[in-house]
Amino acid sequence: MRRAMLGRARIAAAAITTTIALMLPVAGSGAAFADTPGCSLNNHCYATLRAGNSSSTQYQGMYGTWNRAAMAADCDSSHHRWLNSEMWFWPLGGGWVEGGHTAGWLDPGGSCDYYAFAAWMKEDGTGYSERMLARLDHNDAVTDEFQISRSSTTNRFYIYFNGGRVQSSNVQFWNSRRFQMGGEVATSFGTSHLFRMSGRAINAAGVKSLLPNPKSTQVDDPPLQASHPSNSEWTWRVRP
Amino acid sequence: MRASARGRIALAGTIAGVTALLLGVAVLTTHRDDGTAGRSTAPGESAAVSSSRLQSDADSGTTPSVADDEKCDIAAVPTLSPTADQRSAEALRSNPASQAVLPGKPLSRADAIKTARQLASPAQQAFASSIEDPDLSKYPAAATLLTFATADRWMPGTSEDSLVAATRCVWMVTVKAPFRPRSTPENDSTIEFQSYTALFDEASGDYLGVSAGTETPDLISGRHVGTDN
Repeated sequence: MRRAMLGRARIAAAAITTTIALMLPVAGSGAAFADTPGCSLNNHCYATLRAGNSSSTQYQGMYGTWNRAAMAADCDSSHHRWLNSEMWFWPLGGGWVEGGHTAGWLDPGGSCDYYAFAAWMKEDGTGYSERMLARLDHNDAVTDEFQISRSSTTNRFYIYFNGGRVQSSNVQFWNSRRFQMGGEVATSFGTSHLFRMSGRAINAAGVKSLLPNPKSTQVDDPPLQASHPSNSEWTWRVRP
Repeated sequence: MRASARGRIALAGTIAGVTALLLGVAVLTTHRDDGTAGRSTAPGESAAVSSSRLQSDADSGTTPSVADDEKCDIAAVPTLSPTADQRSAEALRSNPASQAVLPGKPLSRADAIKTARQLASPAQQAFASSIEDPDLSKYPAAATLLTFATADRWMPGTSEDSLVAATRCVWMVTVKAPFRPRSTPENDSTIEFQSYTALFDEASGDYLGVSAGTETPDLISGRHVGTDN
């Protein structure tokens, strides 16, 4: 009797083990590893190079190049996870203009892919827009160009991606002394390869110059790695 | 990644898997419906769009302030300038909203509304908190089919050298629900808007953009509709 009970227990255990084994692939996101713990939709992690000055020198835009490195966010229609590699032109008074790559949840229909995007916020916080510029295949060997620069209409900026562009609406500013570029992670399930970023400030003459007073003030988010190899250069990635 | 943390998460995943089994296939089916409804099978749809077909779904929202533009072309494709960057040309080939022939069914009005509601901040908060999908159907919404050129003109900002053709059919959807920007320079998520308007390619269902706040066209109230921004 006892042997029979043990046998039944073994069969039950085997059935449970088999069930678990069968369920693991289905579990999908549940079985994934949290590569960026502590980062979430409510708590974005950053690995960014900030630059700017406190003098009266104002700039009219920002230029950046970086590789289209792989990144992923273990996203689906019920898990709105994402991470960006991007740059912001960001005045002290508020508002911003940004452009970059994003991976994961951008499309509310649930297509979790790799995109180029642009976004802007009015200086007084009364208007925000986001545009999907292109769906892309990540490719570490491809270098993409982004540029934020004045359009011909006051307080509007062009946001360029590889020569194509969108024009922002009126963002209520046309100058800035502040710049930021790097990674923004809104998931604990983010992964990435290394992004090698190079940024430039665009001055009043339209000339691209090194970013003023760059400071790597946000490299300490634990799941992210970053380095500042030279003045306007920045690398970041999700810690492997 | 620390091994112990990986272990804990793997165990959590296993528990999640068993829980999913106990809950049954219905859970997975629900998620699939949320994510891909209206985009599967039925190749070879006609380029002509009939509004009666688009009205066939359950929740078609409130009556929009603007009627559908029946002259839009669901299969219109863009033409890049000869001087366009080679990378843009490559993006054109991989961009669903740039393609004339697509394998799935077009996005219906009801699915455009259902998809747009996913942008509401209550949906984001629910997913961030790992709680079940919130009931988003309570948020009023209205959708209108427009050419991309018209939709782009009404939305704040202007697309240039776009990968979407000017005459392409796109859904403009306004949702009256709280909305927060996705990406911010300082992780400042305190700015919240009370409604937003999103664009989707009708043929592929692809998301094209969203705006909120002043200047944003509102298909429910009619505010800023028809205004060049």
